[in-house]
Amino acid sequence: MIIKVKAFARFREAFGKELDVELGAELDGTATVMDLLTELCAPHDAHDMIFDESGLIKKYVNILVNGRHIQSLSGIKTELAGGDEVAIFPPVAGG
Amino acid sequence: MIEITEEDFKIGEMIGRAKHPDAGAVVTFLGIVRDDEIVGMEVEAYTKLAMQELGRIRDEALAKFDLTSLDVIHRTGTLAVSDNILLIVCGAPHRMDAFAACEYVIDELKERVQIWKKELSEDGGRWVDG
Repeated sequence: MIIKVKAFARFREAFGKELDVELGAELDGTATVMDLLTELCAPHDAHDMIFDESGLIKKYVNILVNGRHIQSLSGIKTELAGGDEVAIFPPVAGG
Repeated sequence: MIEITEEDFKIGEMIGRAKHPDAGAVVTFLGIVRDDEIVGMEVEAYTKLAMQELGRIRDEALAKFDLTSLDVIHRTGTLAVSDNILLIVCGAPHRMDAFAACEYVIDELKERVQIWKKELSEDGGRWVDG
């Protein structure tokens, strides 16, 4: 399945602004946010940007699936479907 | 009006638009690029979500305060020192509501709206912490 990823600020610089990430069939037809992040970080050597030493997502990393924060879904276990839009960004700083 | 744009805005026109027979006060907040030993600033937005969040903040302010108008424009792109970043224009029958609404909008915007700033310097750049 193809997941559309939008990255902003320092994550855009690491991953690119918009990219399609293909998650493989070895995932038994289901894929989670964790699977996506693992796939996303590997080629960019960006694991430390997203995860802390315990393997948890750093507090300042915001991840939205189709506009909804994963904290209001199932966290990194949130399941993804083909065509979902996932956004990754740091705390906001406008104004 | 809520807008996120790369274009600069005309402050006088925005204030003029806020003039209304029921308005006795128009309070504005203008955010500009400060020279913190930088050469400029890059402003980036997740426009779709930022517009939705700005709309929610505007609706909240209109519910909380007695206003005749509330307009917000936030710029994106590469800006130079002293360039305009943000304009909030609050019209109200009385000044206290206009002041309070303006403060409410800028405080909430800084906390909630999906916009980021990178300070550009001779050495490169640094993302502003949220």
